[in-house]
Amino acid sequence: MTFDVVYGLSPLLVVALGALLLMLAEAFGKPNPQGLAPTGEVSDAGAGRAGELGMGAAVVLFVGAALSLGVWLAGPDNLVGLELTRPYLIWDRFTVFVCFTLCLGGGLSCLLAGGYLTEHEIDRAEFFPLVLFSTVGAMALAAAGELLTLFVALETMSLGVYALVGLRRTPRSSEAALKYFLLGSFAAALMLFGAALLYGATGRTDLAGIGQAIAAIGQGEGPGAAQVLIALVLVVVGLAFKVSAVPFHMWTPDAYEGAPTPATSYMAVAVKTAAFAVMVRVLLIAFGDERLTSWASGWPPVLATLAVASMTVANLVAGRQSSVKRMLAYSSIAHAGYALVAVVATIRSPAAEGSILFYLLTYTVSTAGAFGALILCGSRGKEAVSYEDLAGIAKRHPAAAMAFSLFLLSLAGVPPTAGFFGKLYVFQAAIDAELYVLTVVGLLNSLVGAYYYLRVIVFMYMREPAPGATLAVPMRSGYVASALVIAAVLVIALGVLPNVTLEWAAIATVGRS
Amino acid sequence: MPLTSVLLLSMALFCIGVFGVLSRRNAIGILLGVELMANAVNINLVAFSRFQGGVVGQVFAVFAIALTVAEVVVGLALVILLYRSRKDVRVDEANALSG
Amino acid sequence: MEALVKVFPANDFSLLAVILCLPLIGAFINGVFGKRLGREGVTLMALAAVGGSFLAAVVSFLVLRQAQAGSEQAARLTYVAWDWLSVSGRHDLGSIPIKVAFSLDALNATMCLVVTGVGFLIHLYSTKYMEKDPGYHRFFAYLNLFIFSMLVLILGDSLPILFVGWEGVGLCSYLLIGFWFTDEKNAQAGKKAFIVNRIGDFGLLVAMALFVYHVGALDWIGIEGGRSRLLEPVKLWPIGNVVPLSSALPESAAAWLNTPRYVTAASLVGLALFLGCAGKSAQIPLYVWLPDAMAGPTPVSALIHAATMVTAGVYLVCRLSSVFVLAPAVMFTIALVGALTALLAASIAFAQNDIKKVLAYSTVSQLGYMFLGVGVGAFSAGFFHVVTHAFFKACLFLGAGSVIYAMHKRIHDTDTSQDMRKMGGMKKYMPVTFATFVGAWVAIIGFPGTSGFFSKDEILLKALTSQIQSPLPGGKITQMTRAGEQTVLELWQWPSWGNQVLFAMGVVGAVMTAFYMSRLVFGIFWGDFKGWTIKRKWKAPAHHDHDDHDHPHHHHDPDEPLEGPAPVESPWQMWLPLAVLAALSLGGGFLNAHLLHLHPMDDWLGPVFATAAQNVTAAEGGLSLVLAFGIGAFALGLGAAYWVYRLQGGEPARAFVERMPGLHRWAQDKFYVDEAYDEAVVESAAALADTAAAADKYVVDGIVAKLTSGVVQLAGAGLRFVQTGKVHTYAAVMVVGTAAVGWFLIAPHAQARTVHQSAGQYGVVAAPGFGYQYRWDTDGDGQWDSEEFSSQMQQDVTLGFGENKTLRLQVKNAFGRTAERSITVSRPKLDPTRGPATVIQIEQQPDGTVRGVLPGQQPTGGVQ
Repeated sequence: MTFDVVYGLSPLLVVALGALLLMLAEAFGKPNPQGLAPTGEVSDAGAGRAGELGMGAAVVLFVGAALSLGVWLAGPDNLVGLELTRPYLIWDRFTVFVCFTLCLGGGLSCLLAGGYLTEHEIDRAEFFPLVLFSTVGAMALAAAGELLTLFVALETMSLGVYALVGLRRTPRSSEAALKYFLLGSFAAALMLFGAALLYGATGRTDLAGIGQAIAAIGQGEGPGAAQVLIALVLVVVGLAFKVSAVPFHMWTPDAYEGAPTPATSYMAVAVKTAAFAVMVRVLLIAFGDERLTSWASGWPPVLATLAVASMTVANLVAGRQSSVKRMLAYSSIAHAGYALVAVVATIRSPAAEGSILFYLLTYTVSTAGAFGALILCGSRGKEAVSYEDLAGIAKRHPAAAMAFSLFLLSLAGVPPTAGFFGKLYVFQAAIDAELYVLTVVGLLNSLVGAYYYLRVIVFMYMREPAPGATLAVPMRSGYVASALVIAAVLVIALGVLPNVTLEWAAIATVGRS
Repeated sequence: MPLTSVLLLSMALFCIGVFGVLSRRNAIGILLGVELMANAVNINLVAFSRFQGGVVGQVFAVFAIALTVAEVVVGLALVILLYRSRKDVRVDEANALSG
Repeated sequence: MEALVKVFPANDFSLLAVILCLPLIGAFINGVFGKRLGREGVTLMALAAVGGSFLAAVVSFLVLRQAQAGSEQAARLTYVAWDWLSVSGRHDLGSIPIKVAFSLDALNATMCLVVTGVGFLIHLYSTKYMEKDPGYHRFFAYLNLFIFSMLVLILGDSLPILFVGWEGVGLCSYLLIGFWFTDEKNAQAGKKAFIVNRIGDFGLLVAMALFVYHVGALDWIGIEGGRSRLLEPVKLWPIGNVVPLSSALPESAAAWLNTPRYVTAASLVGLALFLGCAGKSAQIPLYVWLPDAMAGPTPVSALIHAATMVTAGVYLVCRLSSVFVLAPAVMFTIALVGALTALLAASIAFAQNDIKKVLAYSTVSQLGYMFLGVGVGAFSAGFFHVVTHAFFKACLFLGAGSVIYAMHKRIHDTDTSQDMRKMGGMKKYMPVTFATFVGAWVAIIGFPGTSGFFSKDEILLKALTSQIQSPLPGGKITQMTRAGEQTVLELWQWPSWGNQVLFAMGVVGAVMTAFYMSRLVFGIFWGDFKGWTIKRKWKAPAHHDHDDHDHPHHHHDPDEPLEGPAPVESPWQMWLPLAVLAALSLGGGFLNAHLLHLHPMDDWLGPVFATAAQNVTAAEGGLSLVLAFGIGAFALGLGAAYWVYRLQGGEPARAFVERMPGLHRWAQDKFYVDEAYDEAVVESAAALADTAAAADKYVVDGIVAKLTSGVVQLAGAGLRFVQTGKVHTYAAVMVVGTAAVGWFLIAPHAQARTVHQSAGQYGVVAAPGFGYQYRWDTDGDGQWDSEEFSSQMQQDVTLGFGENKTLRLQVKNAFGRTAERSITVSRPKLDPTRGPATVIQIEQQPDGTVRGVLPGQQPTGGVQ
């Protein structure tokens, strides 16, 4: 029994243990005993360390992903004693699938950081323990079945990410971090207030208990019903902030642009994935009552509006960006919109939860890959930021351009890449749930979205850099290259053979009553 | 004291906090606004716990305080970071990232 | 042979995987390791990949022939790679599994041989032609990738797999057109090809959706088996039961407007598929991309834009012939569009001086012939022209490439080196190129005995005699109503004048082809060389490290007389493919020489088109008439060209141009269709007025598109303006957002829907809401039934025919706020003429006939 529990929770435990070890390694393994060496050397030594720690962190996270896969195959239901962690942590197939995605996204980001920090001589190896701690928080958040756990996990995840954003210590990086922090804690406070009201109205803090208590609240006026509704407003807002849905998205482009690119990649994939997981669980378990999922007056029309706004606004603004990184930030907002369509579809389609998980997986590999390719296209002092920087890069570094194109095509949803099937199944779930308007809006938006992804490809393949412009010089890094290879293989594999993964995602449901 | 009045108090505190976030230009001022909001939550939690019985609310409040402290620590560190690079903690001046 | 059949069983024919994978491996190795392999390595890899694929295709062909021998049924070899995905179809048809499966039958086995065979020759040719290009390995990687995609397209066993290949060849074409991507013109051409092909792809996607909905299958066998379901009538108009606001119109107009209009699903599918085919195969109005696509390297033009990819549309029509014949109107449209394209492109080719442009328009024109052929139901004749065209057009392009290669040694400007006015007398300098070019030329103009003669005359014959029958007896689809039978759709009948018109257009096109091709050949090979002054022992003045594309600084001053050595014959890697292709152009016709009662090709393809052939009738005779017209057309065109360009030295043409400068310039500028497409400012208002399409394009593009993009730009700019970078703005937006969400959830929403329970029984159900209470006013007296709110969400209503009733509903939510709404329930009048519609069922009998069956009746007859 004990072994079963440890095995079941092993993805979480391994990453937590890895985080502690890496923190120790980071603290005690500091070279430069004299403290007198010339600055260049120090940073070189430190940068070398970044690579090693990055490798360590990536290995830990990939082990976590492998263990998630193992737990999946064993089946969390078959592991004796694992239900003891309920209601604090609900360790079901849904959680395990999300853990796999989180570890994958985190591992890819660590590999990217291993190359990025070395290349840009940023002596900040604490990046890796921070990522690991954040991932622990994210996994716990995906599993959380109780409000208190949920908040502890949420803060564990967020605090780490705030620090990651401010890692570079440039004015822009600090500004991005502070903005993200202030708005993030503001949103957390709103959500916390909602949770307190929920506790007050139901007397329970576990999601299932809250769900039952809400079902027991009868019709009519009363403080209980009013509190539940206000709590719903605040909780939806808090979750919408974390998934960066319009109009709670405004921090996203700034934070994504200012953060060091591997941190951006981590935020875009892991934070968003965990936030969607907790959103699905909270809305379906705690607010799954028939009266709260009504199209007339429940959360589905609210989320549908947010989805439409996210897709449309993000696509409109993304087309007008000159910075590729910022464009990718807006693209992540648009993708949140597509995933929200599937969240709305959960009310009527049993396939919708699986489509969300599959979508998040495809989004993770495509986005991490796209940011990785962006990192690869630049080197120290010659970073690739704007479209202009990427002009003609296909000629100078065809491999980087080809990889970038693959990930962009996947983000645009071009068959037969992973992104196509992610979108296909989301829209299929939406049609299944008879959400025709949302489907049409989503399809139109993905057409518009193709424009700005293809624009990058056009710049890479068909433009010549302006004479005299500073050229982005692609870097050489085994870490980044291996991350890109992993992501590219997954993008193609999920596109060519989506069936198995999809079947796995389809049976990973949150077990609503 | 009935529950309603406590809730009114916490609601008022929460609104003051929101107002603070919206109106202060200083990063620390905004942080204080967020703290007020968090404290309104704590009052709520404790009051619910008192009127419904059970200790869950109080435990929740203690955790919320701890989380808030951690948040403040990170927040202040970031404020110092910004101050070091800009010699200024007015966040509305920090708008290099926009559009 | 026995051993082969044993190793590769027909239902798991893994040799198909070999055919497909070799070019893919070649593309991968050349693309990734090409730089390290060196030129020889890349050459070897590329040639081995395509050559191996060709050999495997030959073996497959032989195995298939073995299987086909002595069987009436079409033999098939299939290979299922893996299960891909499944899509949910209409509920009564279940979900549709899509497999990554490939199959080989007589049709695509032939196509496969052409693609790999001609592909191999063109690869061989390119090893020399592209020799000095810095992107040598990249070129071959793309070329191999193209062969792979093309093979996926033709071997795919279902529409989605075909679509993957379809997109793949499009992508490769795009990459190869823009191969010299430094060149702005090429990038523009690539972009144009991309956009036009997207329009075509849209048609294909729509067709797939219609197949999923109506047939419930996407693989060839499934589509052919379920094709009779495509005879369902689909109501196009009005949307809903009546046109809104039509009651405001006079009665007759309203009645006319409200008359339901039906088409068969087959017509919709056929049109959508043809849109896709027209995009890929460059038919009106989507042909504009192909001539521009000739900006790519010449071997690419030969392989992709003449021999293989552009014929994919014809292949698709042949492949789905059993579906197309269900829609005679679509077939006639295809034939007519094909004939028109043949004429239009030929008339543009008259006035072009760039030899590749002439060949490009000639390709568009010949593709028109193929569609003319398949459009009248002569699938094997149309497909035969695909094969012969692949031979002679590839030969012509490669020959032109050989000439350009020679010209390019001294004239390093792409446009000038392709200008036939700079050539002449090449017969003396390039004997092999000349001989092969002449071989292909006599084939395309239809010299008796050559391949073009047999294939073109077969198409002309069928254009005169062949018709598509109505797929249903009596030519109409009826529905049972209470008032009796009612015809909802009269099926379109093939017009009596149709064949004569199509035939006449085909003959005129043949005359024009003979004329402009002869002009081209006379211009290049006869007369005096006009490129530069030929000097013996001439030496290059300075080193020119050149390749085939533009170098602006190499532009020569046109007035400066240019000197150079005599042009020389190209090396063997270039003339050997020419010789093989020329031999095939001359002799290939005997595969299907009906005149001599030799038709192995027809016999071979017969079983594939057997289903479609049931719906095609062909009149007897007409052969001698066609023969007379065919030979006459050839003789007239050739004779006219000989007289104008050889005997008179081009004087009549110049006189004609002087007499009618407008017409000539009009043709030279391709009737301004390109300009219309590019919505550039057309030079003169007169030319603009000539093309009605241009006006349409201008309005649509100029106003609608500009307006939309303007709004989008403005909205984007506005939204960016909100993104100030200030925390306060962001927090304020969040608070406003929260308030909006709160407003929605806290405000009450009175909504209700009506459900029909049984005859006359309706229920009005209020939408649920958290903390909601309801009260009703069911009797319409303005008073609430009870002042108290309750949790009663549903009210039942009983209505007679033609009655209606209004209820009021008020809801109160948890915050004590209320909202109300009135709901009207009505039951339609009993209308004896509009009972529940019963669509006749259409069944396919085991013997392949299609019968219309009215419920409760015996089958009403059939068609063979």
